[in-house]
Amino acid sequence: MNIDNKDNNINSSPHVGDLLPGYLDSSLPAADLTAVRAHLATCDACRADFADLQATRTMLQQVPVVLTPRSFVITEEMASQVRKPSLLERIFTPRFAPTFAGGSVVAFVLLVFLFATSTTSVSVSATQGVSGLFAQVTESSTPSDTSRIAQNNDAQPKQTGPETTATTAAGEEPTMSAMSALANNDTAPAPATPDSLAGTSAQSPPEATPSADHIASAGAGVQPPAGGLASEPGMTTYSGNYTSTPPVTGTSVLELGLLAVGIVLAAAAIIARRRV
Amino acid sequence: MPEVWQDFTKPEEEARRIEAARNGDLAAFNWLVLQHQTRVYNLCLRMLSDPDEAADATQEAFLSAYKAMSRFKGEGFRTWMLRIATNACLDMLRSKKRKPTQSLDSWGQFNDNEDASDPLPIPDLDPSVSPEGSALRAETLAAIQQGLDTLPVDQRTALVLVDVQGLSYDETASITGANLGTVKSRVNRARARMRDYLRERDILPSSGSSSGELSAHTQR
Repeated sequence: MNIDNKDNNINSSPHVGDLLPGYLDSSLPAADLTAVRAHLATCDACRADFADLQATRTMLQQVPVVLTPRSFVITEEMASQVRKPSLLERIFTPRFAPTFAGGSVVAFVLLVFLFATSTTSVSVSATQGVSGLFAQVTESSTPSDTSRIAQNNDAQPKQTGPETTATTAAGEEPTMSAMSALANNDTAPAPATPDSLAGTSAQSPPEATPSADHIASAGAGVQPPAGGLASEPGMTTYSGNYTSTPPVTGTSVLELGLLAVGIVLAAAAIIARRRV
Repeated sequence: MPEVWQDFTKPEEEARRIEAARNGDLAAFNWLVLQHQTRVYNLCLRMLSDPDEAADATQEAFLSAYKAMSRFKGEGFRTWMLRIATNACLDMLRSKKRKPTQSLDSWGQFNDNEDASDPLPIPDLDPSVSPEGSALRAETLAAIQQGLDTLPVDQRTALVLVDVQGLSYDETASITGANLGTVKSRVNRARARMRDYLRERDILPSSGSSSGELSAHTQR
């Protein structure tokens, strides 16, 4: 292109300035190419811009090649110091990045699916199960359980107040409901004995849950106080020596596992992508 | 494209050497080093603007390539090698940014406002270049290198690969890991910034046009 800028007054407005790089590469759509060509024929400023852009590219293309100051061949000594890449280095390569990324996506999708499923099932079981809970556990109660519960209540009276008692509420697990009923039972007859106390306090948490069911049976017929504290799902309720935590179900373990796997795989994909 | 970067090697010969190098043949790998070291060094030099650092980055790149040779999958050795070299340069630039040195300050790295009246001393920057044998004057070369230094790293990489090294957009995209449109956009923006930089320093024929007055120079 022969552009003569000599002695022209220019318009400072860069009318097609943004399109000039694309025009230089002829990478613009045909319509834009035609429009820019027509504009350049009439606009001195844009023509000067374009001329400078051409000159800039030409100068860059003419930057001379510099000869290397030395040879960069790998000597035997350097080669001997090159250690074999570790297993991790061989795994974290861009080749495996898509695999990691795909695995991460699958893990998160499964997590969302599992979470949605478990949330629905918990809601259903909560509404269906609470009403029939007391009737169900009454049938399986035993006197020894009642005695043990009462001992526990007597031994730790300060820990069984209403403020630490959760009443049955939607979303609460059945064992927690049972514990609530027990905690409000003031009619426990048997006195505490050292043996029974020791047996109670020695119970490990996994054993506490079935005991809590029996405890609930002792409180059957005793209605939870109206207007009691409603517990949120996941809330920890203390009643005597019995510590009832939200049961760690297989579903929640799986959810946590999927979350961890998803995060780890996503991090692995990022690391692998950045490596040569 | 400069003649020294023309690829005279037969593809079959290079493929044979690559296969041998993948099997641990050091001599075969060094044959590849000799074939590509000029291009790799020049890329590093334009990226880093310092001959010593460019040499270090070049050596590091070839060492990395030697370590990773068994994982080379035949995408094109030049592309693969330039990708490793680009990463070596980026690592070095990041390191310099974290620990600025005296030489870094003096070269005006990462500084858009360096004094244009103090161009880089070409003989120190590039002792093997003979400005007399180049179509560009020493001051022009210095201004170009300074202009490259002011560019964001991603634009500088794209511009050096496309305009200085003469690679295609496709190969540049493969080297940088960016998509084709991104590479074109980076090159376009880099060219525009370089034009403005050179124009402000009266390097371009129509310098001064941005202030409303065209010079009497004509372009081609």
